[in-house]
Amino acid sequence: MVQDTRSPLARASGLGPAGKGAAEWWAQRVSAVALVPLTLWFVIEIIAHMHSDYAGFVAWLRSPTGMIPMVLLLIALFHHAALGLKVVVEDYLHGLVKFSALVAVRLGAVALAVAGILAVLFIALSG
Amino acid sequence: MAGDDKSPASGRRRKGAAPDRLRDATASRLADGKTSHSDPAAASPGARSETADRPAQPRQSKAAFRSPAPGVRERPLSPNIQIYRPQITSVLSIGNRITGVLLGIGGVGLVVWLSAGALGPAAYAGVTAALLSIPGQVVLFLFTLAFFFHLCAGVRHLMWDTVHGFELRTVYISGWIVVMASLALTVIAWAVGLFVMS
Repeated sequence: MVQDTRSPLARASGLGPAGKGAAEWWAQRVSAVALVPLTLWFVIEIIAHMHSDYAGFVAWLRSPTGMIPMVLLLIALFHHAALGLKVVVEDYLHGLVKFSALVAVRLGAVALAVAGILAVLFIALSG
Repeated sequence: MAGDDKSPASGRRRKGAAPDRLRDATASRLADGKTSHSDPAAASPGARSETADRPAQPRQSKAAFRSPAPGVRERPLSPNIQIYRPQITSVLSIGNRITGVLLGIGGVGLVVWLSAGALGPAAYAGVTAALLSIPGQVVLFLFTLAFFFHLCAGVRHLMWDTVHGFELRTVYISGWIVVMASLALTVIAWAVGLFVMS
Protein backbone atom coordinates (compact mmCIF):
# COMPACT_ATOMS: atom_id res chain seq x y z
CA MET A 1 0.00 0.00 0.00
CA VAL A 2 1.35 3.38 -1.01
CA GLN A 3 1.96 5.74 1.89
CA ASP A 4 -0.91 8.21 2.06
CA THR A 5 0.59 11.70 2.07
CA ARG A 6 -2.67 13.58 1.87
CA SER A 7 -3.73 15.92 4.63
CA PRO A 8 -6.50 14.84 7.03
CA LEU A 9 -8.83 17.31 5.30
CA ALA A 10 -8.12 15.84 1.87
CA ARG A 11 -8.76 12.32 3.23
CA ALA A 12 -12.05 13.42 4.76
CA SER A 13 -13.20 15.13 1.57
CA GLY A 14 -15.79 13.02 -0.18
CA LEU A 15 -16.43 10.91 2.89
CA GLY A 16 -19.95 11.63 4.07
CA PRO A 17 -20.61 15.11 5.41
CA ALA A 18 -17.42 16.55 3.89
CA GLY A 19 -18.72 15.91 0.38
CA LYS A 20 -21.77 16.96 -1.61
CA GLY A 21 -24.23 15.35 0.79
CA ALA A 22 -26.28 18.48 1.45
CA ALA A 23 -26.84 19.23 -2.25
CA GLU A 24 -27.86 15.63 -2.94
CA TRP A 25 -30.12 15.63 0.12
CA TRP A 26 -31.86 18.72 -1.29
CA ALA A 27 -32.06 17.27 -4.80
CA GLN A 28 -33.68 14.13 -3.35
CA ARG A 29 -36.37 16.24 -1.67
CA VAL A 30 -36.95 18.57 -4.61
CA SER A 31 -37.28 15.65 -7.04
CA ALA A 32 -39.63 13.96 -4.54
CA VAL A 33 -41.87 17.04 -4.51
CA ALA A 34 -41.86 17.08 -8.33
CA LEU A 35 -42.74 13.39 -8.44
CA VAL A 36 -45.87 13.77 -6.30
CA PRO A 37 -47.98 15.43 -9.04
CA LEU A 38 -46.14 13.72 -11.91
CA THR A 39 -46.62 10.16 -10.65
CA LEU A 40 -50.23 10.81 -9.65
CA TRP A 41 -50.82 12.24 -13.14
CA PHE A 42 -49.27 9.08 -14.61
CA VAL A 43 -51.46 6.72 -12.57
CA ILE A 44 -54.60 8.67 -13.47
CA GLU A 45 -53.64 8.74 -17.18
CA ILE A 46 -52.95 4.99 -17.20
CA ILE A 47 -56.34 4.30 -15.64
CA ALA A 48 -58.05 6.69 -18.08
CA HIS A 49 -56.34 5.03 -21.07
CA MET A 50 -56.77 1.42 -20.03
CA HIS A 51 -59.29 0.71 -22.75
CA SER A 52 -57.26 2.40 -25.52
CA ASP A 53 -55.22 0.56 -28.17
CA TYR A 54 -51.89 1.41 -29.79
CA ALA A 55 -53.42 4.33 -31.72
CA GLY A 56 -54.76 5.73 -28.45
CA PHE A 57 -51.35 5.30 -26.81
CA VAL A 58 -49.65 7.18 -29.66
CA ALA A 59 -52.29 9.92 -29.64
CA TRP A 60 -51.77 10.33 -25.88
CA LEU A 61 -48.00 10.82 -26.17
CA ARG A 62 -48.44 12.99 -29.26
CA SER A 63 -50.54 15.53 -27.36
CA PRO A 64 -48.56 18.11 -25.38
CA THR A 65 -50.52 17.22 -22.24
CA GLY A 66 -49.23 13.67 -22.57
CA MET A 67 -45.72 14.18 -23.91
CA ILE A 68 -44.52 17.02 -21.67
CA PRO A 69 -45.48 15.53 -18.26
CA MET A 70 -44.15 12.15 -19.45
CA VAL A 71 -40.72 13.61 -20.23
CA LEU A 72 -40.71 15.55 -16.95
CA LEU A 73 -41.70 12.36 -15.12
CA LEU A 74 -38.80 10.45 -16.67
CA ILE A 75 -36.30 13.15 -15.68
CA ALA A 76 -37.57 13.47 -12.10
CA LEU A 77 -38.02 9.70 -11.68
CA PHE A 78 -34.52 8.68 -12.69
CA HIS A 79 -32.88 11.59 -10.90
CA HIS A 80 -34.72 10.62 -7.71
CA ALA A 81 -34.02 6.90 -8.23
CA ALA A 82 -30.31 7.49 -8.84
CA LEU A 83 -29.97 9.57 -5.66
CA GLY A 84 -31.92 7.04 -3.59
CA LEU A 85 -30.10 4.00 -4.91
CA LYS A 86 -26.78 5.77 -4.36
CA VAL A 87 -27.56 6.13 -0.65
CA VAL A 88 -28.70 2.49 -0.45
CA VAL A 89 -25.50 1.30 -2.17
CA GLU A 90 -23.33 3.47 0.08
CA ASP A 91 -25.01 2.04 3.18
CA TYR A 92 -24.88 -1.67 2.36
CA LEU A 93 -22.02 -2.29 -0.07
CA HIS A 94 -18.30 -1.79 0.43
CA GLY A 95 -15.08 -1.70 -1.50
CA LEU A 96 -14.98 -2.57 -5.16
CA VAL A 97 -18.59 -3.83 -5.16
CA LYS A 98 -19.73 -0.45 -3.86
CA PHE A 99 -17.71 1.39 -6.47
CA SER A 100 -19.07 -0.80 -9.28
CA ALA A 101 -22.63 -0.45 -8.03
CA LEU A 102 -22.34 3.34 -7.81
CA VAL A 103 -21.09 3.49 -11.40
CA ALA A 104 -23.85 1.11 -12.52
CA VAL A 105 -26.55 3.16 -10.76
CA ARG A 106 -25.31 6.40 -12.31
CA LEU A 107 -24.88 5.03 -15.84
CA GLY A 108 -28.10 3.03 -15.63
CA ALA A 109 -30.16 6.03 -14.51
CA VAL A 110 -28.80 8.26 -17.28
CA ALA A 111 -29.23 5.53 -19.91
CA LEU A 112 -32.80 4.75 -18.86
CA ALA A 113 -33.81 8.41 -18.67
CA VAL A 114 -32.36 9.14 -22.12
CA ALA A 115 -33.89 5.99 -23.62
CA GLY A 116 -37.29 6.79 -22.15
CA ILE A 117 -37.26 10.43 -23.28
CA LEU A 118 -36.11 9.51 -26.79
CA ALA A 119 -38.80 6.83 -27.02
CA VAL A 120 -41.46 9.39 -26.05
CA LEU A 121 -40.12 11.94 -28.55
CA PHE A 122 -39.90 9.28 -31.25
CA ILE A 123 -43.53 8.31 -30.70
CA ALA A 124 -44.64 11.93 -30.48
CA LEU A 125 -42.73 13.33 -33.43
CA SER A 126 -42.52 10.49 -35.95
CA GLY A 127 -45.13 10.11 -38.72
CA MET B 1 -47.10 0.48 22.90
CA ALA B 2 -45.63 3.15 25.15
CA GLY B 3 -41.99 2.52 25.90
CA ASP B 4 -41.50 0.36 22.83
CA ASP B 5 -39.41 2.95 21.19
CA LYS B 6 -36.34 4.62 22.54
CA SER B 7 -36.63 7.73 20.42
CA PRO B 8 -39.23 9.17 18.11
CA ALA B 9 -36.56 9.60 15.49
CA SER B 10 -35.83 5.88 15.24
CA GLY B 11 -38.32 5.57 12.41
CA ARG B 12 -36.23 7.79 10.23
CA ARG B 13 -32.74 6.60 11.01
CA ARG B 14 -31.93 6.34 7.35
CA LYS B 15 -28.42 7.54 7.91
CA GLY B 16 -28.20 6.22 11.43
CA ALA B 17 -24.93 4.48 10.67
CA ALA B 18 -23.14 7.76 10.22
CA PRO B 19 -22.19 8.37 13.88
CA ASP B 20 -21.05 4.73 14.23
CA ARG B 21 -18.99 5.08 11.10
CA LEU B 22 -17.33 8.17 12.46
CA ARG B 23 -16.73 6.49 15.78
CA ASP B 24 -15.30 3.37 14.18
CA ALA B 25 -13.02 5.42 12.00
CA THR B 26 -11.81 7.37 15.01
CA ALA B 27 -11.40 4.22 17.09
CA SER B 28 -9.38 2.53 14.39
CA ARG B 29 -7.17 5.56 14.04
CA LEU B 30 -6.60 5.58 17.79
CA ALA B 31 -5.95 1.87 17.87
CA ASP B 32 -3.73 1.64 14.86
CA GLY B 33 -1.98 4.69 13.55
CA LYS B 34 -1.11 2.93 10.32
CA THR B 35 -4.67 2.11 9.29
CA SER B 36 -5.03 2.97 5.65
CA HIS B 37 -7.77 5.48 5.00
CA SER B 38 -7.45 5.16 1.27
CA ASP B 39 -9.63 2.07 1.55
CA PRO B 40 -13.20 3.33 1.96
CA ALA B 41 -14.19 0.05 3.60
CA ALA B 42 -11.91 0.83 6.50
CA ALA B 43 -14.16 3.69 7.57
CA SER B 44 -17.44 1.81 7.32
CA PRO B 45 -19.25 -0.43 9.77
CA GLY B 46 -19.14 -3.33 7.33
CA ALA B 47 -15.37 -3.30 7.43
CA ARG B 48 -15.31 -5.65 10.38
CA SER B 49 -17.03 -8.55 8.69
CA GLU B 50 -15.47 -7.81 5.35
CA THR B 51 -11.90 -7.59 6.55
CA ALA B 52 -12.41 -10.71 8.62
CA ASP B 53 -12.71 -12.60 5.34
CA ARG B 54 -9.53 -11.07 4.01
CA PRO B 55 -6.61 -12.17 6.13
CA ALA B 56 -4.22 -10.52 3.69
CA GLN B 57 -4.71 -7.18 5.43
CA PRO B 58 -3.39 -7.55 8.97
CA ARG B 59 -3.48 -3.78 9.55
CA GLN B 60 -7.27 -3.82 9.37
CA SER B 61 -7.83 -6.97 11.36
CA LYS B 62 -10.69 -7.29 13.81
CA ALA B 63 -8.26 -6.59 16.61
CA ALA B 64 -7.80 -3.05 15.33
CA PHE B 65 -11.47 -2.41 16.06
CA ARG B 66 -11.93 -4.58 19.12
CA SER B 67 -9.01 -3.59 21.30
CA PRO B 68 -8.68 0.12 21.96
CA ALA B 69 -5.38 1.84 22.60
CA PRO B 70 -3.98 1.60 26.14
CA GLY B 71 -5.83 3.95 28.44
CA VAL B 72 -8.92 4.13 26.21
CA ARG B 73 -11.97 2.48 27.71
CA GLU B 74 -13.63 -0.01 25.37
CA ARG B 75 -16.75 1.52 23.88
CA PRO B 76 -20.03 -0.41 24.13
CA LEU B 77 -21.41 -1.66 20.83
CA SER B 78 -25.08 -1.47 19.89
CA PRO B 79 -26.84 -4.85 19.75
CA ASN B 80 -27.44 -6.14 16.27
CA ILE B 81 -30.65 -5.07 14.58
CA GLN B 82 -31.94 -8.67 14.45
CA ILE B 83 -32.69 -8.86 18.17
CA TYR B 84 -35.16 -5.96 18.12
CA ARG B 85 -38.87 -6.66 17.82
CA PRO B 86 -40.14 -5.08 14.58
CA GLN B 87 -41.89 -1.77 15.22
CA ILE B 88 -44.06 0.41 13.02
CA THR B 89 -41.23 2.96 12.88
CA SER B 90 -38.47 0.60 11.80
CA VAL B 91 -40.67 -1.47 9.48
CA LEU B 92 -41.91 1.62 7.62
CA SER B 93 -38.38 2.99 7.41
CA ILE B 94 -36.94 -0.11 5.73
CA GLY B 95 -40.19 -0.49 3.78
CA ASN B 96 -39.66 2.94 2.25
CA ARG B 97 -36.21 1.83 1.11
CA ILE B 98 -37.34 -1.52 -0.27
CA THR B 99 -40.25 0.03 -2.17
CA GLY B 100 -37.90 2.71 -3.49
CA VAL B 101 -35.58 0.07 -4.91
CA LEU B 102 -38.56 -1.84 -6.33
CA LEU B 103 -39.91 1.30 -7.98
CA GLY B 104 -36.48 1.86 -9.52
CA ILE B 105 -36.91 -1.56 -11.15
CA GLY B 106 -40.42 -0.43 -12.12
CA GLY B 107 -38.77 2.52 -13.86
CA VAL B 108 -36.95 0.02 -16.07
CA GLY B 109 -40.35 -1.47 -16.91
CA LEU B 110 -41.67 1.99 -17.78
CA VAL B 111 -38.82 2.55 -20.24
CA VAL B 112 -39.32 -0.94 -21.73
CA TRP B 113 -43.01 -0.11 -22.23
CA LEU B 114 -42.23 3.26 -23.88
CA SER B 115 -39.48 1.73 -26.03
CA ALA B 116 -41.88 -0.97 -27.20
CA GLY B 117 -44.30 1.78 -28.12
CA ALA B 118 -41.55 3.48 -30.13
CA LEU B 119 -40.68 0.19 -31.88
CA GLY B 120 -44.21 -0.20 -33.22
CA PRO B 121 -47.61 -1.84 -32.75
CA ALA B 122 -46.27 -5.43 -32.64
CA ALA B 123 -43.78 -4.80 -29.82
CA TYR B 124 -46.35 -2.70 -27.97
CA ALA B 125 -48.93 -5.47 -28.27
CA GLY B 126 -46.40 -7.93 -26.82
CA VAL B 127 -45.75 -5.78 -23.75
CA THR B 128 -49.47 -5.09 -23.31
CA ALA B 129 -50.24 -8.82 -23.46
CA ALA B 130 -47.59 -9.50 -20.80
CA LEU B 131 -49.04 -6.77 -18.58
CA LEU B 132 -52.59 -8.11 -18.99
CA SER B 133 -51.60 -11.68 -18.12
CA ILE B 134 -52.28 -12.91 -14.59
CA PRO B 135 -48.61 -12.68 -13.48
CA GLY B 136 -48.40 -9.27 -15.15
CA GLN B 137 -51.46 -8.06 -13.25
CA VAL B 138 -50.08 -9.35 -9.95
CA VAL B 139 -46.78 -7.55 -10.58
CA LEU B 140 -48.66 -4.38 -11.57
CA PHE B 141 -50.77 -4.59 -8.40
CA LEU B 142 -47.68 -4.97 -6.23
CA PHE B 143 -46.03 -2.06 -8.02
CA THR B 144 -49.16 0.04 -7.38
CA LEU B 145 -48.97 -0.84 -3.70
CA ALA B 146 -45.22 -0.09 -3.61
CA PHE B 147 -45.84 3.21 -5.39
CA PHE B 148 -48.57 4.43 -3.04
CA PHE B 149 -46.60 3.29 0.00
CA HIS B 150 -43.46 5.08 -1.15
CA LEU B 151 -45.55 8.16 -2.00
CA CYS B 152 -47.21 8.29 1.43
CA ALA B 153 -44.02 7.45 3.33
CA GLY B 154 -42.18 10.05 1.23
CA VAL B 155 -44.73 12.74 2.10
CA ARG B 156 -44.24 11.74 5.75
CA HIS B 157 -40.51 12.27 5.31
CA LEU B 158 -41.12 15.68 3.72
CA MET B 159 -43.25 16.57 6.75
CA TRP B 160 -40.36 15.57 9.03
CA ASP B 161 -38.02 17.67 6.90
CA THR B 162 -40.08 20.71 7.88
CA VAL B 163 -39.42 19.73 11.54
CA HIS B 164 -42.99 18.63 12.23
CA GLY B 165 -44.43 15.48 13.73
CA PHE B 166 -41.51 14.20 15.79
CA GLU B 167 -43.54 13.52 18.94
CA LEU B 168 -43.71 9.77 19.62
CA ARG B 169 -47.50 9.72 19.44
CA THR B 170 -47.49 11.67 16.17
CA VAL B 171 -44.88 9.36 14.68
CA TYR B 172 -47.07 6.32 15.39
CA ILE B 173 -50.21 8.04 14.09
CA SER B 174 -48.54 9.22 10.86
CA GLY B 175 -47.05 5.74 10.43
CA TRP B 176 -50.44 4.06 10.58
CA ILE B 177 -51.87 6.75 8.30
CA VAL B 178 -49.18 5.80 5.76
CA VAL B 179 -50.17 2.12 5.99
CA MET B 180 -53.90 2.80 5.72
CA ALA B 181 -53.60 5.45 3.01
CA SER B 182 -51.32 3.36 0.79
CA LEU B 183 -53.66 0.36 1.06
CA ALA B 184 -56.75 2.52 0.44
CA LEU B 185 -55.23 4.34 -2.54
CA THR B 186 -54.14 1.04 -4.09
CA VAL B 187 -57.62 -0.45 -3.71
CA ILE B 188 -59.26 2.73 -5.05
CA ALA B 189 -56.92 2.89 -8.07
CA TRP B 190 -57.60 -0.76 -8.96
CA ALA B 191 -61.34 -0.45 -8.33
CA VAL B 192 -61.53 2.56 -10.65
CA GLY B 193 -59.31 0.79 -13.20
CA LEU B 194 -61.46 -2.35 -13.23
CA PHE B 195 -64.57 -0.16 -13.49
CA VAL B 196 -63.08 1.66 -16.52
CA MET B 197 -62.15 -1.64 -18.12
CA SER B 198 -65.60 -3.19 -17.69
